[in-house]
Amino acid sequence: MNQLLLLYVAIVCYAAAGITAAFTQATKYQKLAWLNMTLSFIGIISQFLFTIIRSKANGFLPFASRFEAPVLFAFAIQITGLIFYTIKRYNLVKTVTDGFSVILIGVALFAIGFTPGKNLNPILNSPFFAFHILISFVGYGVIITGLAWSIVALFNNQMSNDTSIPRRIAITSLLLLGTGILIGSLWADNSWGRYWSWDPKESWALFTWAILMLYVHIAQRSNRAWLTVLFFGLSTIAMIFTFIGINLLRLGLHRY
Amino acid sequence: MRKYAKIVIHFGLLIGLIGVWLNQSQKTSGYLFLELAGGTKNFFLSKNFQSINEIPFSLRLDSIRTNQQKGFEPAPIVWLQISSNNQNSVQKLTYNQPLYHQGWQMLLSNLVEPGFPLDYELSSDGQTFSLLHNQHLVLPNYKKIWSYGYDSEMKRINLLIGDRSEWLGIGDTLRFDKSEIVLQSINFALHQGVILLVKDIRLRFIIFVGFGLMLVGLIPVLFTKKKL
Repeated sequence: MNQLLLLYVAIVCYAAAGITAAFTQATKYQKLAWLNMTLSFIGIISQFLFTIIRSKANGFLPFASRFEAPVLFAFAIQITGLIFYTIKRYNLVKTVTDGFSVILIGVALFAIGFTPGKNLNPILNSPFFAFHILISFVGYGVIITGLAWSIVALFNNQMSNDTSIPRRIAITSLLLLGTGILIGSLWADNSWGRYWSWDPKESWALFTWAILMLYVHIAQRSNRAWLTVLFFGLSTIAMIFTFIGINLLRLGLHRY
Repeated sequence: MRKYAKIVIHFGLLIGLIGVWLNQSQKTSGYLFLELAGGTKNFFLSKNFQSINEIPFSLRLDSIRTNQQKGFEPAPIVWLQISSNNQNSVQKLTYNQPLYHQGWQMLLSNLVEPGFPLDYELSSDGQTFSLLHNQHLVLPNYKKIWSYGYDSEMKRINLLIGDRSEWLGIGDTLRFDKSEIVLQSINFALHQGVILLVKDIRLRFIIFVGFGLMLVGLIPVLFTKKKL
């Protein structure tokens, strides 16, 4: 099966899911929620098949190139967005997460362009590689979900009263990003003999984590909606710099 | 439950930070040169080249091969014989795949061919120093001195002090800040060999246990709606 075709199926499904969620919000016709979830699910399955096919073609998991990273990021956002939508039916939040997935796959397909897998750097041939990348990206996906929730909640009193949600989203992200950093650190210790080297990507990942940790502490005392937007916004900016800025500025050893 | 989670998170953070401090303050690391025709060694030169440290086992270089990965330059694979408690074992070591034994980590730093300048003997103000090729040391006046070049035709080495770079042959003098550095000798490798970076990582686990505990403490907080 064609790798590109699967990505086109995924982007169309995510776009349709986003439109469906917005339409559900506008019309209050909740039965469309199932259509939304089905579309997201088809998109996720397409991306899963893409991952398997590309893995077979490359000989390793497709998480290593400039083309593959945004595709994986879209996959992670979609999974976290769908899980969140299954728990809490906030249509606008789902619209935003679907939108992010569409943009990321769009960037991979039309801005970066499809590239076949290259030879894997031998250093990446480690069991830590898949876990470190996957867990970190799912953590990033949770941050995007938190940002989407906080922006929508800014204009919705009922949502902003539910103060446990942003805190639990932040803790989920802390847990995932922290695990990702810890696995990365174990990997570095095993491969380079140093568990931490203040590489720009490491530092920015820690900075993103610290912003969320600060939010969790501040949220103990204040639950103002703008604070939630501020902290998820800051962590998103830090995360985007970790993800894109390091590559664009060609900083450190983590660039690709 | 929430109260315990809070304790576990902060206790884990404390343990992790103590682990970092212990690993930074107690760290022992240095260089070990092993030659193919050489015998066993159970000591290494400390990172500041000022002392010799022992390791609780002996190492001998068994053989050197190369590993070819598609699209990349061949990487050396080193086979080391490790002897401890009257038991011998041969284990593999290559770039980015350190060898672990009894809480010690051995990293492959450099592959050395015969004629490779291993180390230099320098004297300054009545004191003698050893400096490994492509390494640096801190002099008593806190100036860093780097060696990073060797001219095999002229038999001279390149030293960098501050922003001054000078070529020195045996017996030549380098003057800086009212001090003099004289190159006394250069030791060359006679056989093919490897330079290993040896590290004591027996306390490293504390860091991972501490920060891991911190993350474990976050799990129950996820399932509660109330604040901590």
